[in-house]
Amino acid sequence: MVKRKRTALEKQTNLPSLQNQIRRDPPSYRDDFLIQFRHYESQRDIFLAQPEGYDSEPFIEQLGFITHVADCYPDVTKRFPQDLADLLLHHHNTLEPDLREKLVQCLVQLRNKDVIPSTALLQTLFPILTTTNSKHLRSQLYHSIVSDIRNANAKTKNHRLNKTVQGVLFSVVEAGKGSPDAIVGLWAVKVTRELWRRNIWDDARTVEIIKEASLSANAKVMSGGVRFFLGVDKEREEMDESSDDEDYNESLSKLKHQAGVSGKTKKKQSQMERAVDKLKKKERNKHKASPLNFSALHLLHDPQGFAENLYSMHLAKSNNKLSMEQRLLVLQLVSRLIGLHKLTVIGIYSYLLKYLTPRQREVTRFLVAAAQATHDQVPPDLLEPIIRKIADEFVSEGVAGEVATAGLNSIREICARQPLAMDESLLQDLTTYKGSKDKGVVMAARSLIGLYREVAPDMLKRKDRGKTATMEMKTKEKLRFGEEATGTIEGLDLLEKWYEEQKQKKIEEGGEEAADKEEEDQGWEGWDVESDSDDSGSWIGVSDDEKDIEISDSEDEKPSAKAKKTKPQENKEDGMDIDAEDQGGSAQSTNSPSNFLSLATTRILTPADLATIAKMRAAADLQKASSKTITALRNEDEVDESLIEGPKTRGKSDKEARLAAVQEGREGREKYSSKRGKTLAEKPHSTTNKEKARKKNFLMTLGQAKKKQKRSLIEHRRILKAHVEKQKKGK
Amino acid sequence: MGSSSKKKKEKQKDFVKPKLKVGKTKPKADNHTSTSFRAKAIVVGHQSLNAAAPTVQSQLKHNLTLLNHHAYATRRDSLAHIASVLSSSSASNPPISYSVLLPALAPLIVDSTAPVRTQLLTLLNNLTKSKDLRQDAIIPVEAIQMHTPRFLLYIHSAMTHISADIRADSTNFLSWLLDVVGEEAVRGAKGWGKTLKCWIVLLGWEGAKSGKGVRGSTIEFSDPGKNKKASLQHFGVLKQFLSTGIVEEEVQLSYFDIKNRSLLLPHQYSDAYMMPKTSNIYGHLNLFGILTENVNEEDAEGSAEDCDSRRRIITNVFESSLRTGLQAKLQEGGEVGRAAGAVLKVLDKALKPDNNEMT
Repeated sequence: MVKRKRTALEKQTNLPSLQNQIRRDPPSYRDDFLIQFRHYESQRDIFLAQPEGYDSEPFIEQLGFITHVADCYPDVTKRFPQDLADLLLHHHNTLEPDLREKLVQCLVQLRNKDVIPSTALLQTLFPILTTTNSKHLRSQLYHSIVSDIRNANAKTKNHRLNKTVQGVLFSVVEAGKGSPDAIVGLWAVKVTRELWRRNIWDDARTVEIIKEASLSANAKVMSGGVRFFLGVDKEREEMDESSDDEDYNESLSKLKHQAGVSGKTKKKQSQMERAVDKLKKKERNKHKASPLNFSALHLLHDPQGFAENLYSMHLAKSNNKLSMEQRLLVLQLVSRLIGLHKLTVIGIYSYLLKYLTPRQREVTRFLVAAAQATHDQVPPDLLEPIIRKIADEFVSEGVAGEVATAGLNSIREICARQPLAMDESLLQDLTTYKGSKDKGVVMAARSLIGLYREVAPDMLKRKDRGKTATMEMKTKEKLRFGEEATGTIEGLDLLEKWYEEQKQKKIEEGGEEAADKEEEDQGWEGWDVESDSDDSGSWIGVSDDEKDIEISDSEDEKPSAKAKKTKPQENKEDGMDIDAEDQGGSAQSTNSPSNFLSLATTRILTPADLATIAKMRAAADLQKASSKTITALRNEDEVDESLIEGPKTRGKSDKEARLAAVQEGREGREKYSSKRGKTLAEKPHSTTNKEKARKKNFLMTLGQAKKKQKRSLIEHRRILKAHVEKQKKGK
Repeated sequence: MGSSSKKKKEKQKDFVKPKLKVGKTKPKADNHTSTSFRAKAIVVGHQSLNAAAPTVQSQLKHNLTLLNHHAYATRRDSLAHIASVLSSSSASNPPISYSVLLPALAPLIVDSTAPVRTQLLTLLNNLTKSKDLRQDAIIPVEAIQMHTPRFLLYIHSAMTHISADIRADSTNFLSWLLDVVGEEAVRGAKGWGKTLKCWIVLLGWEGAKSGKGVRGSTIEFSDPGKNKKASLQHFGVLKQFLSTGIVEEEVQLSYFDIKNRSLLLPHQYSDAYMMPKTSNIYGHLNLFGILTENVNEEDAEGSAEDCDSRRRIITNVFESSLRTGLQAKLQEGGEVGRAAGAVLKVLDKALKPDNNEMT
């Protein structure tokens, strides 16, 4: 009996059961495994003797088995991964698709079991990725490469692996840089982009790979690299947001609802607690600034050299075969780099000049590029021809409203970045368009006026200046090229005002000294606890104040209110206004900037102070966003195309187009009809009285009609009364 | 009003149950199909009446493709057909090229069903061995020699197969190959080192080397009789294998031979500098292969072109595990023990002169 048991135990009939037994007790089944391993070897030899037309199904099964248990017998399977890699590397074009897929799977599995290091896996897969002809294999390899790197970086960043992989990718890109036919780099770009998007790689070395790719001679690789710089950070943000938001919030609200509706159980309660914990953790993470979240453009080494190379390689040469779209992409990137890093690439301005005509395709993108390539360190003589050309070509009587709008808007964008590029007579010509019939043109011209009211009111005509600008003109210094404004701590004025208010409150409650003392203590105390309710109460007060000021402004002069706070450096002067009007009577107002630095020079700012500043600024920004102002302009920001195109007006259209618009509005809307009719239509029902009346034979109704005509007044009255009675009873 | 009642009646009609009456036939259903007619003849649309039967060659070709058929009976039958056609043909003018036939037959060594394997074995035995001395075999030895590596690959595969039946049958094929081609089957890394490795795992003696003891055979049948039969056969073939590989045939050199040799070859080591008599002597270097074989693994798969190198391999790598396993079997006694003893004797005999030389 014992013997029978033993034989039953040892009898091996199929691989899955053997696999199961081996996993439980590897030493006992070593012999069985050895047989299978020799079997694998012999099958591999058979395969090598005849790679084509080989029935691969048993071999696939064998491969799967060995892979699954390879980690139990590391001494026997020492060469197994290398065998697989060799098979794949040398035969990947002739292998049967199933077998090929299995081989890749096995390698990935071995990696997951930590039998082989990640670098070995990637060194096998990457060369195949770049050489294989099979689309299916390529996508499989690509996904396994990306997911392997992701897994390796899941808990902590695996810097060593990242470094080696980046090195491989860099060398791949660099190798194919010179020749226009090498598309190997495309895969490197794709992998890098994916990993950047997932926030796995976010360092300068990654950016260096893409930089190399965007300087490659192959148009595809180049545009891949350029697109990375232009779009990837936005993608990353979107991905972050989408991954966070939906999951927790929805699930939490759902749980809350369920907790209210159905019975309370322990399970549900714990679920709820877990969800709340998660949410709290998320909130905490949100406030924690991630230190490595720079955009790709900021991480570039030597942006000046990069921009110059891009320009000279892809734009300046007239004989290259880039398509319009690709050239536009490069132009966009170069201009973005120039604006962001305040670079000097002189050639680009004359290059742009060529394309600035209304008939040019995609002219708005060229205008955007012109605006982006402008910053306050660009010599005005370079920009003057551009502005002159835009004014001549776009802004004249003969052109359509949209064209003039685009021209004026782009001039405004350029001048907002470099006001010195404009000369007085041209500006005064352009401002006359505020009387145009086209709404877009009017708005564009007004915004130009608003801009110059702030930066250089003396260039405007007298009647365009407005009251506040005229008043400021006396104190305002003339613009000079290359001048830098003195720096301040942004939001310091807001903090000072907040302190004033707090003091007032304290004085109202108790003595002044107590208030002073408390203030000092509170600064450091609040840092740990962050008493939210206290702070929020205070910044409501501030915002109220600001609103008052704005209202008073707008009474005086509407456009000036619009023009307020356009630039961050203007914030300072804004603050001046506020103070001047706020504390008008207190005679403290001076126009020197030292006033605002007083707080910074007299006391040390506590962390609590800084937190308050952040809050105040957030509140002020909210205020700004809600009030009508020109959007904040910065040379670092991208210029939006819609900003230049101006408001879109619907032109006169023919009847068909109008009808189509109407139909579009009706799409997905229920048909208007009575509710009763709809409910009746849904269910089977007997004929209603109304339906009966409608179907009633005409001849039968004739007698009734005759009788109606013949009845006497009294009779008529009785019927009417009865009807009224019936109505009342019915209700 | 009138119309609605009429409609009501119409609707009701569908649900009225037909009344059955005694002595009257049941009314037919609406969807009743009449099957009362009778056909006078069945007409076949198309019939091939081609007088020319397919040629022997085309039939053979067809049967070769049927060797991959999923139904085992078909495979067996096509093997039988091939055997019958070939046995009736002459050796000098075969109806099909051997380079087509033999590679197609080799994979059937690992066929999953026993009848097919037996059929294959009988086919091979009948066609490749001459029945009597006057007559040559139908498939010449040279053809088999050409395809020996291929047969060896499949025999290895069978020796290590997970199915015990296939493993048990595998040595029959090895025995056949040794019978037919002799030393060719044990030459080279594939023939010697690889096969020995398979032997070791087949007999379950891998543990002997590392001192973990012999587990006994991995031939598992629930029927002990069958078990014994299989192991008897294994030891028989092992003996044959070893004697082919490492026991040098004692060729009695006649006086004239020796004299001739000394006349023809002035130096005693001239043999070493002569053109080799066998083919592919540098096969173990794997000059044109892609995968690097496990040459370094204790020299198990090094060059095994001649008897001496084979002996060296066996003493370096396999001797200890072989001896331990065989001793264990010998102690068990019985018929199997006797067979193991015979193998052990061969081993002793083969390795003794070597030892004497060394000492």
